[in-house]
Amino acid sequence: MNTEELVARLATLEKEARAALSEVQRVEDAIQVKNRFIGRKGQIQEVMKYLRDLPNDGKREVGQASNRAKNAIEAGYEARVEAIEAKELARRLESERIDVTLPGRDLVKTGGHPLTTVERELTNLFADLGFEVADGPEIESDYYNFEMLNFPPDHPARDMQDTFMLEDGRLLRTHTSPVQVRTMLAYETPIQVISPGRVYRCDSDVTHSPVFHQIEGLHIDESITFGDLKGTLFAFVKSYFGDGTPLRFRPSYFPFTEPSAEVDIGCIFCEGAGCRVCSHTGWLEILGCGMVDPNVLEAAEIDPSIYSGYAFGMGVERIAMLKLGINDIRLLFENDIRFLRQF
Amino acid sequence: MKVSLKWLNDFVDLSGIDTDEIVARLTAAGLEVERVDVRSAEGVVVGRIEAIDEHPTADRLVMCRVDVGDGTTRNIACGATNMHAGDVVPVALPGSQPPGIDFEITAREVAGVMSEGMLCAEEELGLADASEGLWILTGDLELGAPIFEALGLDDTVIGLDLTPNRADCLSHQGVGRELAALFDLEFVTSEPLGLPEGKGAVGEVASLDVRDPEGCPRYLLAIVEAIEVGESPDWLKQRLSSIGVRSINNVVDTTNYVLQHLGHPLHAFDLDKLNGGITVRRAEVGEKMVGIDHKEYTLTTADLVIADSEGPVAIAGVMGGERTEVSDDTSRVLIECAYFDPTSVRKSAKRLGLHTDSSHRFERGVDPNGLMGALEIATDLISGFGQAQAREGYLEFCPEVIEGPEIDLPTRLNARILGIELSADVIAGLLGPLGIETRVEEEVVHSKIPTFRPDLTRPIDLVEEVARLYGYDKIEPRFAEVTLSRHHAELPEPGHEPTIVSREVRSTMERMHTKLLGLGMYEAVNYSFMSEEELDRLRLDEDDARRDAVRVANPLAQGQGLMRTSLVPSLLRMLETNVAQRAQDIAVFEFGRIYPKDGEREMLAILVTGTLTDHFENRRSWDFYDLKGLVNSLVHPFDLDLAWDVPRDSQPYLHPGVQAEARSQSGVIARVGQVHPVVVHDQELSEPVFIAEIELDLLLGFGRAHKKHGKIPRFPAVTRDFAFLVSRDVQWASFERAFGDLASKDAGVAALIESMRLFDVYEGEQVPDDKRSLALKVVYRSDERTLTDDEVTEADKKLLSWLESEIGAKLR
Repeated sequence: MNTEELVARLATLEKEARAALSEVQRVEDAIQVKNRFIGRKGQIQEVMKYLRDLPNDGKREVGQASNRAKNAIEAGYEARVEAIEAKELARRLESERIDVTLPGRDLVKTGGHPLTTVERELTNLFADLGFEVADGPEIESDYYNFEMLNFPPDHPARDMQDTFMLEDGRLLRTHTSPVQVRTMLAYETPIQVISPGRVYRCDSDVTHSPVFHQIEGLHIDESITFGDLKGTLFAFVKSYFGDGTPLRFRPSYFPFTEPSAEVDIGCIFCEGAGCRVCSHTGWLEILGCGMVDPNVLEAAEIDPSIYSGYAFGMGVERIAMLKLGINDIRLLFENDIRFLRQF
Repeated sequence: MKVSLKWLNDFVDLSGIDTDEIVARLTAAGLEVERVDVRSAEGVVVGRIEAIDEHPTADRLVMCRVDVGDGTTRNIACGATNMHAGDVVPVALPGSQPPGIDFEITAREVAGVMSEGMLCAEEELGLADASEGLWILTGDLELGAPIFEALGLDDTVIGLDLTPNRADCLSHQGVGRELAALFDLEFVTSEPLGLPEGKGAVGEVASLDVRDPEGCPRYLLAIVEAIEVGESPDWLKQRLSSIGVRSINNVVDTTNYVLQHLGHPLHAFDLDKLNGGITVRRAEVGEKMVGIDHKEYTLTTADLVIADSEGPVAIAGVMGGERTEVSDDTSRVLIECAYFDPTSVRKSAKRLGLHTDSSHRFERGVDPNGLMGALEIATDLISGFGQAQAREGYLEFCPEVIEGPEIDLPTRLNARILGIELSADVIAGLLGPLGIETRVEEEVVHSKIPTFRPDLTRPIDLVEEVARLYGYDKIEPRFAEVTLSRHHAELPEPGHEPTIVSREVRSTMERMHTKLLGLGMYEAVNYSFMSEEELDRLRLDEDDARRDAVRVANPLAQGQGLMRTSLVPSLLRMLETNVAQRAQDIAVFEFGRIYPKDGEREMLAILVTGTLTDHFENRRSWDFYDLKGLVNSLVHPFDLDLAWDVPRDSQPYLHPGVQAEARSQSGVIARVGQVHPVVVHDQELSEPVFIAEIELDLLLGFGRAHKKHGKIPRFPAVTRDFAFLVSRDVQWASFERAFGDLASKDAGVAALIESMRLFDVYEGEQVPDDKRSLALKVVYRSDERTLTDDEVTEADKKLLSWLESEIGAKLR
């Protein structure tokens, strides 16, 4: 074959190869087609056998034509493979389509017991205000629970806290204040702690539980005043119940503080207008507090002429019930999943 | 404590002051107002029952024809039985709302018959907490007149929730004094009344012998004769009725009146029933007295009694005796007005379970210098009834003058505690109206405390009075600088238990909590109590330490008599609660304390049953290995060596074949098992229940493991899978131990093994009956070079022959 025939032949092969490639549907078939034309024993190579009989001009011309055809087939092949792969991917993706609106496999269904949540919120809040956390036994002696806290034996103040007695003469602590006593005895001043924990009183109805939780705070240093107590509690109320929540301090009586106060916040349900929750007073009592009685400091070997301090205490259940709108304290201890699920 | 505003006007002129203002000031001064009852009710009027007819359909009701003075007769259904035709009663007409009930009265059908209103008892008018039958009115009352006005009861009554320190406010006099101070008004003190003129000296008919001056520092008595015990005058009945005290007779009403008026408890004895003179002494062992409540009390030598020659006639300050009680035929009374030691009264009252108006006041402390005034009023009133005639004078035991303390209050203390600077004069001005005599000397307020304020004994007590009257709300809050607390690293002083909980422990606990919640578990909070029955249910041996629980002496409810020694009963109770509500899938944990006799400790317990994963794609129930894995993951952050094994002491409440314990260097740290089918037998549960118990205190004691960065392997690993046939008797733990022991035989080979993991356990076809197949993935790696195939093959051989020789494991 002469040069022209060979060039024409190459053009035909290129055309045939393109046609064949455009037919194939699988990558393997495309490779076969490619090899059939431009493989080492491919048809283009067959054509090249005639090259040696050509004059130099012809060799160059046919050589160039061969390269063009090979490149074109190569390009056609690649384009075809790309197209097949794209189609294959699209098909696969389509086949893998799922109903994404079906429910997820939920792991986290619960947010913990409301008492733990509230206790932790309060603890962290006071920790941020510089308080350490202190803990102590729940089975206590009269000494730590009452005597050290200025409850004289046979004093009517003891009636304020109905006490569970144990057969061995000890008792179940009626407040977490014994932890404060133990802390004052164990560590040097200044002392700034809160003591969250379980406490017990012989009382059970919709607002009283024989087992409940308290958080008490104690801050003792030189020159601590009632103003510091107010400042700390203002900061607490602002942070926990929201900026602008009004609060008031009412004189009260606790054996371990003097002066003593009860603290009310403006009712968070009716904003002071008066409702069932606040017994139409517009106020909700949330905690008791006061300046640590000098007798308590002295009993704990702290000199009341140098040191003063404040203490406060609140019921975790009370706060949780207010915050979550729970009207029966017993719900908090029944562990009914239908209740727990809500938090 | 209830006070009537009308009555308070005896002591302070409150006219023109709004009730709301009075309430606000009292509360702000520490006399918390619990409730305010305004005694008026439009449409509740005086009516007369003309006739009583049977109710046509209801046995328990009658129909009363009632005249309320408007010319018509109303038919009103009534369930009471104490009224008769002609009785005058309170009638609530349709549209009215009596203060003691919380709905509006309407004309409506009662059991099919129209009833036009309601006949009222004292309870429904808010005058008593409970009452039996209708309130039958006496006296000359105009029909149709508004009831409260007609009875002179139009009033406002304030209920105070007093703190135990304010003994002085347990009377109208005391609250009146407080109000005078708060509103800067004059406190009205009357001149001493003096005892009425009498006939014949008291000493002729009575004698007094106080043998225990400590228990009874003061005792006065007077005598009134020729009394006709009967109804009290209207004013007296009205006063008592206004604060919910039932009228009994003129003598008893008088003593009750003085108690409410001045806060001083009195007792009236029937003089003719007394045998011999009055002796005040301690009771003898086993002495008995029947009280006016008709109950017999056995006394001890700790009880102070008033006695005659026959025995006790009153428990001092607590209750009088039946034998000498004033009755309708009493004609001579001996009026006792004494001051008893608060502690003595409290001990008797508490031991005998008697809490009376009298003991309540004596316990808190009455005014020893108020005795004469109280006796005078009482004697004067009683001798004013009918032909009654007092005897001349009184008998008295009063060996010592009792004076209040003198307290020096430095202004500096006030400033140091309250953070406000008040001058001595201002302080004196605040204290004066409380009855405290003050004298200012430079920066000190010398204060003489009246005996009606036994709560004021120290300078700090006066600081509180100053703060109260100055106003807590006027003290400026001070926002302290927050300093980083200093104690984290500090240890307690020698001989003291630490109380501070470190941040590390707190955050570790929080992480565990978060992990459990992340698994979708609910958190339980249970009481700390348990019962014998619950321990029986756990099938614990008689000598199991958990049976030796701390006992509550006064449990509130059955089943709460023991302090729990295990969290398992709490969790089973929780399971029961929820199974009763038809829950099937329960996963719950509790962080809680147990209270064995050797000391309280924190535990974590977990209970699971039913579905772990409930998704349309994948549904699986909880099993033993879930809990075991969970315990591993909880323990993982701690610095300890954990080894699981069959328990040394099998737990009787767990399945004997499905329980394991995890041991650490310091003992068993966790226990996991399936609850014994017998224990959950009565449960409607289709799935087994699993429990894990973790010794939290022990675990926290290990502290968090301090992780350090290790080299990331640079050379490739070679992984081999093997399936071994092993006898079924060989537990995985033994297999694992044997595998680990390879190091003792051939340290070189052992060093090449990076990890080993069990990925399949198979019993059944193609495996002999007495064997099971364990499939392992072993990873070899050297951190010095790439391992060659030969090296690994050589290592395989040594591993396999070792396992075969140790535990008879053969390659499958």
